[in-house]
Amino acid sequence: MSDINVEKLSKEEAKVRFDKIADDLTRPMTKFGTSFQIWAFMLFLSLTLFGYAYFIQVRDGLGVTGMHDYAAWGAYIANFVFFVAVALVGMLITAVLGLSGIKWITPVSRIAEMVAVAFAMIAGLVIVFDMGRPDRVLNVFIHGRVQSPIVWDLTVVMTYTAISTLLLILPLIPDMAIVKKRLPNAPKWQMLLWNILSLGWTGTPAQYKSIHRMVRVLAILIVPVAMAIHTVTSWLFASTLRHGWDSTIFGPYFVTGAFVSGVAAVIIAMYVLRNSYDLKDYLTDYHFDKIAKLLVLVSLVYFYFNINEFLVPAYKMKSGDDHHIMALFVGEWAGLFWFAQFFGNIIPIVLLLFNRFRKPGPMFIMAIGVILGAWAKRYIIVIPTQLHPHLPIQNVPEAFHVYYPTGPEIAITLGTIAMALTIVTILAKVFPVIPIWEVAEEAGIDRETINE
Amino acid sequence: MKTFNINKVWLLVVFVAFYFNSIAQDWTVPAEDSKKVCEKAFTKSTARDGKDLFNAKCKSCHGAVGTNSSLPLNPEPGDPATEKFSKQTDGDLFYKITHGRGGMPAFESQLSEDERWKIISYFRTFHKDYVPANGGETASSEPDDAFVGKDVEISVSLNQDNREVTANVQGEKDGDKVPANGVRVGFFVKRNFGMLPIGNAVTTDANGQAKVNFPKDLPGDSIGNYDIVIKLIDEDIYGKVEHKETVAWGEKFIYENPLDHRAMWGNRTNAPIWLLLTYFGIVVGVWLTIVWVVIQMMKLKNAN
Repeated sequence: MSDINVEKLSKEEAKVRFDKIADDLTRPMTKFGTSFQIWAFMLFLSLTLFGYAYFIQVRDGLGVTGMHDYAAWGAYIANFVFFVAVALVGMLITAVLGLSGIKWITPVSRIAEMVAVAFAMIAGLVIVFDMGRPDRVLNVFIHGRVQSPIVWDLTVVMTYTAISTLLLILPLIPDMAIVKKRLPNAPKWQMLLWNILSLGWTGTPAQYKSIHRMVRVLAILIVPVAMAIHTVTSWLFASTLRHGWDSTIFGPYFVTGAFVSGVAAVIIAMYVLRNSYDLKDYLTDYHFDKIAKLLVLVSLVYFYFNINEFLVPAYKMKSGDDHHIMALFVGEWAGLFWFAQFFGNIIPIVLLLFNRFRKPGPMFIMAIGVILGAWAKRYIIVIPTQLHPHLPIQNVPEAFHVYYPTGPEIAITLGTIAMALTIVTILAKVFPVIPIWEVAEEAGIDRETINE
Repeated sequence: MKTFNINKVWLLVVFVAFYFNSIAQDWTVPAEDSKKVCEKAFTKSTARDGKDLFNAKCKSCHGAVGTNSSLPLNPEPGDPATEKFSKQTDGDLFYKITHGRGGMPAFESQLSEDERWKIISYFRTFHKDYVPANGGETASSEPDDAFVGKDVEISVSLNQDNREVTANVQGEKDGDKVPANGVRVGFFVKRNFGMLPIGNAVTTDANGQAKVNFPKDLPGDSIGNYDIVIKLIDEDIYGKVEHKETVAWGEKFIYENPLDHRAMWGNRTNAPIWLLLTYFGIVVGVWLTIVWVVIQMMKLKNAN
């Protein structure tokens, strides 16, 4: 696993070093400081508001949202696309970079998988929260047609969640054995969980080989599945004839956009964990520098797709497309559009070329900007197209000509984000966020010491 | 959509009404056109055709002739049986039908000259003092060779070999049941919506018979049947008299429901085969791999 050649450590030195690493990396699991409590409270508040808002929505129907005949897909769907997008980061880090043999991702990969699993799990729920009759979601399974992109979307999201969960669990196995021994005072249920997930790990060469093989197989498998998940999501739009959606490149456009938002999400997670749990020695400036460059790379690729997506229709100004392009660039959507483009795409590219900004602090601020821009971009993709359909909107109340998310809608949307963050928080508390055994191996500690 | 001010619209209507009323009486026709006459004579047959044309194109505003049921528009179209029409020359009427005015369309492009003259010939059957220009007969409102009687009935005989339908029309005249001659009979095939006329209306001969040959290639149902309807056209004279039959003269038409074929837009059981193979192939392949991984995980403890 490691080819970093360090000096051969003596048994004692190895033990000392390993103890430090293990202590540092298990500390987040036991520390419940003030900032964590404030965080937990905020999540709890958001979830409570969500509960109330969702109750209102189920009781009174989708009329409590801003959705009407024309903008029948609103903030919920934009949110869903955003969730699926962020979930792709698991594939990017673990599979694409991992299979390429990139070394700096070692402390980052588990954070990425946690984010991926959390967001993939909640993505499916986001759709159910968009339904006025949530009980009818069973119809998709009972009466679903294989010809429908929605059936494919559901299948792929479930498959991706399953594979991502396994890719989270598999590299976790050796750590479960370590953590069991290191934190004997953990609550019974947590001990039981670690016991089960350690799967009888003893650190034999055969076991290392088995894990290595399984991770490799799943990493290879997850690439097409992850590509499929966001391509099929994009086809929910691209398989229609509407202006702004009728595009052949929505698949790669969405996937590359997903990488941008996913990397930004991981940067935020890295920064928060590093600061809350004093992990500066593990999530170092070097790692931030590297992930910044990754963000520049995926942002450039996304920028390229943006140019294709907008310049080509703008050149032709086909009737219908012309209104859409004008509305986005200089019309009623210009503010949101340029906000999304600048904060979500252009600023990271420009600023991260400079050394000064490839530092944890500035990157954290920038990543928040990217996430906000990414969410705004999904909104821009979903809503404006519906508000200029092929036939002009006529003979309907004024309210049908526009779309604004209402209070309950916003509360439910924020609630789903809180749900995903809750899952990440819980995972970060129950499991070590940074792989202890991998960091130890890279530090030159032998396997015997790690597994005793 | 902005709401419009209904009061302003009413005001406009009133002004327009006054304006048009002031010119309503003065629809002058150029002197040359006023003198125009039809080259062919007006006969009962032209009047009959004119009646059909009038009912199709003009009755909606002018009302049925002789019933004074013209629409209360401004200017009022008027019943063609009245003096307003009878005092005009043939040329006047021809000019006005051709060019129209205001709400009345210009029928120049809709009716041939012949058809326009026929309508005028129909009007003239109501004008008692009319002197025909070309020596055509002054007819009463109905062509008098048409049968006049009551309880008119149709019976129908079919010739299966040559698809000929014969309608026998009888009516009661002076107490006796006699064949009704001069009665117009229409032959139709029933469609999903409405009826398909076969040929033009046929007038019964002296024996009260009218015949029509049905074409060979009409589509029928799945066994080649269709329904025919034989009825008297002039319902205003004879009332509703019709006869229905089912014949087996049609071409077999098997309706193929598009939903019965495999298609992307079809229902769930009719998905294209290649799509089913792709979807299930991928799902099975990927999930078998996942299951393999889980099995390996279960065996991890004893890995050797």
